Amino acid sequence: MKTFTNRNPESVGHAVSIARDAIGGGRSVVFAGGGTDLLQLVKERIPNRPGSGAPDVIINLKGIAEMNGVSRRNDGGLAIGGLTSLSAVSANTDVSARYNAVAEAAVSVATLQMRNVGTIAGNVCQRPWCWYYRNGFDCFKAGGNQCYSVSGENQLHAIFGGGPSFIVHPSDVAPALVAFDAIFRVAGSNGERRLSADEFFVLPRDDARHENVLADDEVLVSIELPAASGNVRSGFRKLMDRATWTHAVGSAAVALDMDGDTCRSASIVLGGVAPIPWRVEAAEQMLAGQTITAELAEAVGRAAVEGAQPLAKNRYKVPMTQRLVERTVLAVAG
Amino acid sequence: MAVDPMKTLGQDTPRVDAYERVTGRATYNRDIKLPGMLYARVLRSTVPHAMVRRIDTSKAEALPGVRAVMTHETHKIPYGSGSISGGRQYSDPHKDITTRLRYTFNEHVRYVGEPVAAVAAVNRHIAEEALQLIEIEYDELPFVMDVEEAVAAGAPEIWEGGNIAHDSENRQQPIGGQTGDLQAGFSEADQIFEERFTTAFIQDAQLEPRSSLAHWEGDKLILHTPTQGVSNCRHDTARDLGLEDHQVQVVCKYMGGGFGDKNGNYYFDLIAAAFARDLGVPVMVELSRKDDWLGTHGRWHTVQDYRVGVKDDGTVTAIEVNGKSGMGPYLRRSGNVSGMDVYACENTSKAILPVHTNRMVSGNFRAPAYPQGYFAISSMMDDVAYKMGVDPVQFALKNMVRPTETKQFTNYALDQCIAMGAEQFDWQRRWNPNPGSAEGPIKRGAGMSFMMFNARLGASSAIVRAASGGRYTVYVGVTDIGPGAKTTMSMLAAETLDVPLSSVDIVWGDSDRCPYSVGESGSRCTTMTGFAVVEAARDLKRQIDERGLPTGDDVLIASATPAPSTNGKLREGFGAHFAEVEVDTQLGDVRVTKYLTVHESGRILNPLPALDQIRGAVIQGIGQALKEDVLYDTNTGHPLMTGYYFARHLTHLDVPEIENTFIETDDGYGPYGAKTVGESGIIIAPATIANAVYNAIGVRMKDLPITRDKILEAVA
Amino acid sequence: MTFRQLTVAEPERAEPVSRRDFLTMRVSEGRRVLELSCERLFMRYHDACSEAAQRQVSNHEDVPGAADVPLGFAMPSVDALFDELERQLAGVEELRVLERGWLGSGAFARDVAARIDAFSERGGIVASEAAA
Repeated sequence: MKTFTNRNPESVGHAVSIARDAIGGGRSVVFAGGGTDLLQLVKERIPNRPGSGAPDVIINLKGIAEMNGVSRRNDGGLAIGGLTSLSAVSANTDVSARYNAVAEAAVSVATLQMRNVGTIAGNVCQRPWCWYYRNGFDCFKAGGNQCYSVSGENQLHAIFGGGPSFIVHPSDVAPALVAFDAIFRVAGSNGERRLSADEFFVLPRDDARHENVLADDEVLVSIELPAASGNVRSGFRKLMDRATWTHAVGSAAVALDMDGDTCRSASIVLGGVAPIPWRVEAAEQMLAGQTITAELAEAVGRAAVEGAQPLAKNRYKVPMTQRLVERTVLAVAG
Repeated sequence: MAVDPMKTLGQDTPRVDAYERVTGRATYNRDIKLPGMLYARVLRSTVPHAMVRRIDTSKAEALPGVRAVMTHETHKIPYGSGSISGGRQYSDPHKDITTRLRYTFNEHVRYVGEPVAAVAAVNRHIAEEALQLIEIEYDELPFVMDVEEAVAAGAPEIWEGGNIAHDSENRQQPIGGQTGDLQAGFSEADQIFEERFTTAFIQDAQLEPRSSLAHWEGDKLILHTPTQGVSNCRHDTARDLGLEDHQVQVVCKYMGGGFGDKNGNYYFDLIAAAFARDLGVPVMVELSRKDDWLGTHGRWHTVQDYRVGVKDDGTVTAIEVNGKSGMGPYLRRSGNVSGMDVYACENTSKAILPVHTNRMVSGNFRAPAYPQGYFAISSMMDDVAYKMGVDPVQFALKNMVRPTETKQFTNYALDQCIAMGAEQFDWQRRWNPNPGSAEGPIKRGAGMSFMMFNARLGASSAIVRAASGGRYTVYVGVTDIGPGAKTTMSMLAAETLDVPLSSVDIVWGDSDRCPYSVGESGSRCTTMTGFAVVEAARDLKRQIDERGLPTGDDVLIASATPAPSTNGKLREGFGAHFAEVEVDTQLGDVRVTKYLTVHESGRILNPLPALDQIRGAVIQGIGQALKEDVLYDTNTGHPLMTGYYFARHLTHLDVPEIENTFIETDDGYGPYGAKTVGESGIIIAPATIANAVYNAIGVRMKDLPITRDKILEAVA
Repeated sequence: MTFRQLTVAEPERAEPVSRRDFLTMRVSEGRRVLELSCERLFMRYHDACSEAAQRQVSNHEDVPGAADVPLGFAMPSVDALFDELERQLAGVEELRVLERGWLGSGAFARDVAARIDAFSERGGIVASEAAA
């Protein structure tokens, strides 16, 4: 492992100023939440920040109390501190009562031990689990200039929104958060900004090296969930290549605002199939004002994969995703 | 032939070292600290095939804390002493004749992960840091990853003379041979079927990453290394270093699994020895998890083409298999493919070519030649059964091997295993006579397979000693890779001496303090070393009967090196497996809902670990069937599935309760009739799952692993 | 076999001491002393005596379907073992016999006793110690 400096700030402002100063001094910086994935990258010398190599300074955020915990907001929504552990997110009754898909997504991550340590911000911001990036290839995600999966092994890669990088976004909780129109609160040297999912996540066509807009000195401080009515039913379904401790081959977060048997509006966001949490608006719109039947769910599934552009070895993901959406919609509708 | 109950044997007995293991008191290799010891790390090739043009270690040597750097330019140590011929690493004559020598570091590197340099430093972090400072320039060569391409005209030559591995006489010949009259067998057939099956390379994936700690006392090498055989490792290491066997002491007290990967010695044992000798201090070479994936071996991948002739009454009249096994660039073991012996058909032909590629090295993994072979032949026969309109269980009973005048067994229980399994599993109810016909997207199916596995006898040694106070000590060269050999050996002594297990101590895992042992490979430890323990204990008991128990400082010592034989009879363990799966034909998930096994492994000496062995092996087999792989990027020659995460090893949540029944017999051979357990459970697990998947979806899956993408493409 | 030295500086070392696994040589009270572990000697004696030790290779891999590797190991003969012991004894003034219980009363005990007696007759000092 490369030698690094560990810093333990006690406030977000302090963390950001450490980062700013270090970067100003020509040193590479990375923020650590739970560190479950980060330290592995550091040990394997895989660049966490594209092109920066192993970090010179690790800023350990765990001592920042203001970033930990779930709180109710005045508007009836919730604020989930970035350092809140995935276990705490899934166990929080405010989360599970109104934002069930988020709780289900959180509990689907990795293993219990990792959920106890891993944080929600870390889960949203973790680097891709592409086997090229994780095996030390100098791909876009490591700061290079190509995506090896295009002409290589792309079984697990993107069928939507790919190019020039074809990674899939690795977060399970992100699709669920996006399904509830979460706001990502970010702090950096230039102050604070509150970003929608559209603003926070970036497609490779806009920036092939990063998955989100966080600058090197920016921290995801918290995630705000707008108020959700008691009529919203939601759920998260994740397909995995084994029963636990792996990322999604495909996932679907579905939130349905119900009026009796009629769906007023729907959110459907996919994970594991695109470089960002992938909202399928055409499919969502098919549900608005409708009674959810098996036939409708099947049509929604078909609509969800319209425009999919599979690679040579991941064509299977198209029918799989179609059926995943169909079944998740039906399951959530009850 | 039910066995009689005994006092100690046959009783569920916790491991004698269970307490040490679960409380962390057990000293594994990396726990050993010696005064002044250094730590070493290995740098690996980042290209699949190249000549090292230049290697500059000056910056690494200049790093404070670095004590030495080793490359092919500084050290040319033969590794495996020419194991590259015939895959017979322990066979000195084959080592002597090999023309394809391998060294710990080769100027000609042949796979990504091949060792190119090593650094010894005052701690592991500095050693690892120094690796980054070594500059290497390669002259890259064309490479080949596929066994078919490797033997095609114009393929890049990994070895001069072509990519077919040398046999034990340096010939490029297939493994196998003929029995009966193949052409007559096909002439007799009413129908002939042909299919191709393939199996993937998978890693042994033992939990404990490798390390080796060496130090010298004068011209004697003391090597602490996790090995499945202290005697084998001693011999290999002595030979590689130009020493005599007794100049090497190999010590292995506890190890975290082996599965065949830890047999013999490894290049890092030699690196540790060389550093320790050069620097005059103890040196521990450590492998990271990724090192362990790249730099130790896995199960050879295969391509197998079967041709089977059948009469209308369902009798198989001819079996032919031609295949290729991917051995990586160095031959560490045979590359054989097994399974044909379990059929009665007398007209057979087998030709398996072991082939070199620029992938990582292949070697032994729990029943080395079996799960691949049984997957293919059992799938083939299952397919034939359906095509002939015969229930696979009936097809098995019709075509399975049976004792004949020329083929005698010490005992035979294959028919019993199949029949009992079918009944317990409720085969008739679970099996779908029309594969794939179930309604709905989630389809259920059942499959079965059957096997036999050699439980051979052979020479090994044991010493049993009695001291005053009624204390007995067993000296055996076992290391206990998981099946509980220390406990089994102690139980055998206690039973034979007719004393409580608590009065028996054991000395193990030290080639200076124990007599020769075959080690724990080939499921031979219980049948061979265990037999020696029984013989020695019997001798000791005679001595005690004659002279009384020793008193004061006196001791009585008995030793035995029996070399028992079965007088030409086959000694086999038998088994049958039955599985039920649910295949989600829309999402591609395969769930194993029931798994039932029946094994005849002779007398079961310790039922507790015996059941665990079957279960653990079945889990590995299900993993091989459905998940595990080491995919390569064929454009760059780099492996992509390194580590437990990408290789998709199963978790406990992925497997159902595995039900097992042992049919216990005593055939009059081996220690109280004990046969083999350790490898038996894995042999037909991939075949059983694959056959169940066929029964569920009605499409024959011919390529392992049967992953989601393959399922969804098959049913699309 | 090639076993080349490193290119880096060789640490200072005393004249190599030639020892064998069952012998530990040390200088004590101005005398050169050999410590003989009867346990270790017994293990080597046992291997040397065993029939299998004299076979280089067995045919196990040639058994159809055999799973693993052949067994076979090479050990010096019993004569070679005792020749070596005598060589070692020739260079010392005192012999300390450890773990004497391992000598037992059979051929092994007689073979070892003969060497010890000869050493003693030459004026060597023989001492026994309790098992280490």
